[in-house]
Amino acid sequence: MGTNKSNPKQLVVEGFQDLYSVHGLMRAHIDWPDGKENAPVWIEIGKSAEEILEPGYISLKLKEPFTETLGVILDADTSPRGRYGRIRKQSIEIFPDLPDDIPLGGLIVENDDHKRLGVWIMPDNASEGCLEVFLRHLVPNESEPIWQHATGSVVRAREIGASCRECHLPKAFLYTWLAWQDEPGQYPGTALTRRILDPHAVSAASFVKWFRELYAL
Amino acid sequence: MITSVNIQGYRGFDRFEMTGLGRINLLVGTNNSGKTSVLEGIFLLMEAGDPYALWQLVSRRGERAIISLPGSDREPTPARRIQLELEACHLFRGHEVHPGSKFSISAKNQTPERSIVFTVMELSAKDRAELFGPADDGTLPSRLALEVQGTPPPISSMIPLSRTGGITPETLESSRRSHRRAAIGSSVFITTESLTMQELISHWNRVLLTPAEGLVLAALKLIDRDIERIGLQADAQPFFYNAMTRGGFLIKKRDVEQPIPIGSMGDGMWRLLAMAIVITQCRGGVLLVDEIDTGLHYTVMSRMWQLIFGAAKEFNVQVFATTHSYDCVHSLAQICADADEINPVTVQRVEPGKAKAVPYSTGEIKLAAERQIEMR
Repeated sequence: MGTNKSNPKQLVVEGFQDLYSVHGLMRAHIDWPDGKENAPVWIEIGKSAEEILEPGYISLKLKEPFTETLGVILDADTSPRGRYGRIRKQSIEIFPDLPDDIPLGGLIVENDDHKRLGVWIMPDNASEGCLEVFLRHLVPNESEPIWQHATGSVVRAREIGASCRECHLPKAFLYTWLAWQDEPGQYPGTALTRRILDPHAVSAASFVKWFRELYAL
Repeated sequence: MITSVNIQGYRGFDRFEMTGLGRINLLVGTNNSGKTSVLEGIFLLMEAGDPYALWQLVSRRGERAIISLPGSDREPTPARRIQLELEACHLFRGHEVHPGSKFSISAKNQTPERSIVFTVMELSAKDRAELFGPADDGTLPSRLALEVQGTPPPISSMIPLSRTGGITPETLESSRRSHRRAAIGSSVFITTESLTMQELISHWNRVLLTPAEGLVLAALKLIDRDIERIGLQADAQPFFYNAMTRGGFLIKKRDVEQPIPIGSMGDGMWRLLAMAIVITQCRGGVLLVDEIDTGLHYTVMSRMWQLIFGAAKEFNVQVFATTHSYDCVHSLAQICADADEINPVTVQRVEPGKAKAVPYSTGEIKLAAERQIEMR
């Protein structure tokens, strides 16, 4: 276990794309030195929403001796309220004052022991969807015609038999658009670092504000 | 079994509480968080404030003073006497002994309820003479004493203290441990130095040729499968041995003709032997082991826990241990699947300056081990 794993600032995300996207986005706003040892926040991959929501996992992470602040980012999928509700159930003993619903700007709470919990349900704490819906809004205005072309192409591809599912359309749209950038097929995290996706887009501001306030960065 | 413990004023603790305890409880926390003090507190509680238990605890920490006292006037050349005392002051938060200083340990809201309170009292000369008899050396007797109150009622309700706030060997006369053994479940405290040879031999003498001997052998086989028998030399003379040596116990290994003294087999073997012997003698009581992982390789840990858990259930013993080792904590998960008991295993993290331990239930221990989440 490296020194950074016992960072007092911890964030749990579902997968690698979430990790690199948060990193790519936030390094445009705060100082984020290279190298895992120096990361201001340790980002842990929970592998899946179900593993993160497994009863006991979040409260165990909160109880880790070095943890002062724990953030959790999950996709809303079909139910942002349901996702938040499950996190709330896991954390209510440690944070008795948790609100029934997640605020629009994301949740930040602190308990009497000065332990902090933050929750963000992608894309915006209110809508159905996922990380890729959030990232769609970081497509620069100049590239909007290319984005429309990408979504139209995905729809046509499905009409002629492409197997991607309706629930994954936001991913299909994003990765199709990314396939046409320089260089093709970059991950969202890299695209953010290279400003192909715009980390300063207005749509990102609410998330950035939540992150900086949660971690005091 | 104790389900919660409350400690006040003992050693470094102002107030401290541990809840949700089970049959096996592993205490973790940084150095100097007070884990060993918690074990000591539970030991004193279970021993109903027995002065001999106090003596053991303070003595093991080396809190001894050699006091030089004036010789008796009656002797022709009054030389100064040397007296060994144990310093009682370190038992109290603040390391000072004043009238009114007190500490307490309790286990409330459970059956049976238990508590013990030690308070420093100042006695009048008359009371002192009544309780302890006149001082026989012509010196001015100390007015200080340690009052002991509790549930169940303690062996000695008043322990005399010397003028320097010490406990003297004479005090032990009033508390022969063996008198009480039948009344309350015995408890044994194993520290990093383990038990003295005398103590272990006397425990072994009760195990010898009983079914418990099989458990002891099984414990040793955890480390070395070739061990076939264990015995104690009949002429082992405790008083020839320093308390720290391991002379006397012999092991017979398969394919090795010559019996091997257990001292040749390392720390881990010795401590496993001590734990296995002792747990069979703590029926209905408590076994306390400081730094339970000492000398044990990580591959032996989960089998050690299985052995201890099985023995604890069989002999109805509650176990409290401390560790710093990751493997020791995470291998506890192996015994968490037991369906017979609710919450059989807990981990308790003691944090300096915090009044409550952070408890981990059996279910949480299992999940933390699976997901590699830190509990220490």
